Amino acid sequence: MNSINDYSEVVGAETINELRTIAAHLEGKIIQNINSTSVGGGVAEILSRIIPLLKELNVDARWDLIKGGEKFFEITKKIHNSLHGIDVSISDEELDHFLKITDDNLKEIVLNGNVIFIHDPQPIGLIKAKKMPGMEEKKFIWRCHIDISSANLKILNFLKKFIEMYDMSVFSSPLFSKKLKIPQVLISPSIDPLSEKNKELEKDEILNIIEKFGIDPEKKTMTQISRFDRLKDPLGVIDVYRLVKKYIACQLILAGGTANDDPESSQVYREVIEKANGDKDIHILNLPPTSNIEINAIQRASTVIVQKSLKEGFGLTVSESLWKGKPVVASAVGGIPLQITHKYSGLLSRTIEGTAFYVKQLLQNPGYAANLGKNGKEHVKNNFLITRHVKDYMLLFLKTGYKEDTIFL
Amino acid sequence: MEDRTARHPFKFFVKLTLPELTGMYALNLKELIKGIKSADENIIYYHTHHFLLQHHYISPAPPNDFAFWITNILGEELLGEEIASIDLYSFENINDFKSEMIKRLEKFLAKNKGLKRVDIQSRFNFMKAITFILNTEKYAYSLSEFLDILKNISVYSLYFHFFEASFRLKTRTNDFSMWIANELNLPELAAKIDNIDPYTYTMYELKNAVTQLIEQYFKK
Repeated sequence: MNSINDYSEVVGAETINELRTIAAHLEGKIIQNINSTSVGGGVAEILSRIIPLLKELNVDARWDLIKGGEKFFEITKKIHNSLHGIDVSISDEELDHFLKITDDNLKEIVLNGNVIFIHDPQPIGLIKAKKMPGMEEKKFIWRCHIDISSANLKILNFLKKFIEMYDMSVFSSPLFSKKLKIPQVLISPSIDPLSEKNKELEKDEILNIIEKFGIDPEKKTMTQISRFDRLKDPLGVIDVYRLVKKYIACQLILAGGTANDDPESSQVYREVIEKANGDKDIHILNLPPTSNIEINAIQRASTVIVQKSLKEGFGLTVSESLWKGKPVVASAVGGIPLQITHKYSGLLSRTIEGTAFYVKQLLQNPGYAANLGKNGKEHVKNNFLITRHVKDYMLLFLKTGYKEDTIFL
Repeated sequence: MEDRTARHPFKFFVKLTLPELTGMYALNLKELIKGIKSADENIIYYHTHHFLLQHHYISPAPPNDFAFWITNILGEELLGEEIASIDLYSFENINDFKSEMIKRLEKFLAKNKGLKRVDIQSRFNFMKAITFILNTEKYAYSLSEFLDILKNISVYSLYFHFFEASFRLKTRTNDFSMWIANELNLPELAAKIDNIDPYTYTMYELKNAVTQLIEQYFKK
């Protein structure tokens, strides 16, 4: 695990000093994070990185879990999908079970934080504790990690009764939020520059890894890193590659994984293999979820990175690529436009033809590509690294103690 | 040049912000004007300043959210350029700037009836910021101490003393120039720093520009 001081080499000592100054104002406050799992999934991953850094800054950050059971988590998975706009039917009996487990958790969990920071829908009902005796001084924040812009209305209205009881809410993108009666703060997710997936690699290390996959280090390379998922449009990426290949000798890497809980991903993977039709310049890599170093090396060895998603959450893989100084051509969906300003820190496209045009432009103009990559890296450095995330969370916790919009500390 | 000592030190503060969503948005120019009219100072300030803190290194043009959206999303390039070119630094308060912007947008709308509309994903989201002002507990009594600290402060501190100051002091100046003129009695150096138009620099460039002016003073 990295120490907070290790980050000063990346973001500068002045940034770390600022974090210490903010943290000093949280002395004596307990920040209690609550979610549903300690391993697996984006929320657990970010909490497992951020909480140790907060502790090192002397913030008393704690992390508790709710209990559920198979049926409860099946229902919460349905709620999750339904918030994403997927058509799922959830019965009243299932919603009753959700409420029953919430009440069971309310009896068991000790809410000892001054700030109770609830992540995602699974523990959302714990807000009922706010009306209990002894809870008057506590501040409750709901952190939504999901894009709820096209949420199923029945489920959204069911959850809204809880959401609007919180003191504040947090969303990852302006596009993900809804009209609510409580304040909504914008806090983008982040990448960890010192993690296996993003740390600097030696040239030899990169070469060893990509040669293991049969990738030609001398050939121009376009890459998409993503799960084999229709919404990431890997078949469309092959179309892009074929349009580019007419004019430029290049290779394509499609690297990602198939999820055990998503039977469709194996089907998409097979369709990708079929569409590649044995082309030796198309490298289809079905990687296990632990392949962080491999993904890091592949991104660093690429000439252009593509993220041709049809729908996207925040799309942090874009920031991962930009952090490596790579030019990125990505669809203008989800949180991607927050990470890429068109023609400044990357290129935004909407069609297969448009994506192919921009990829060709970047492959033919290394100077232009390098400038976009340089700007992109600087943009990620200022806005999407974990140190910014830690800062935003601390400011959020501080805000719960004040009504004003301008706070003098 | 001599290194004079001040009676009152320069106290370095830092301004940090947390963006807040208002729930208001616009899909076309008419809705944008309506939103701007109902927006308070905090909202207008956010959309004309947050780019400075997001892009420390190089700014995409045009560098204010209204002009950026009009140019790049709505595709009204001429209007976007006109809004981008309004000299924010020449206004002593944000409401005067807002009135000028509304005047120009309404003039355009009166002449151009065909309204371009974007999809919901490309909407303009009206936002504001929760602001935190923190004392860094760094104090400079002399110009050389000031220069040393300046080189090591974050852009958020520079931002507070440069951009925030002109609105706080209700005059086109900045905290650095005020202190250098009043405490160190160096009006010429203060005027040179005052003459920098901060809106045409990135934060890193601005830091370099101020640093260089002070270094040049010492070389004389």
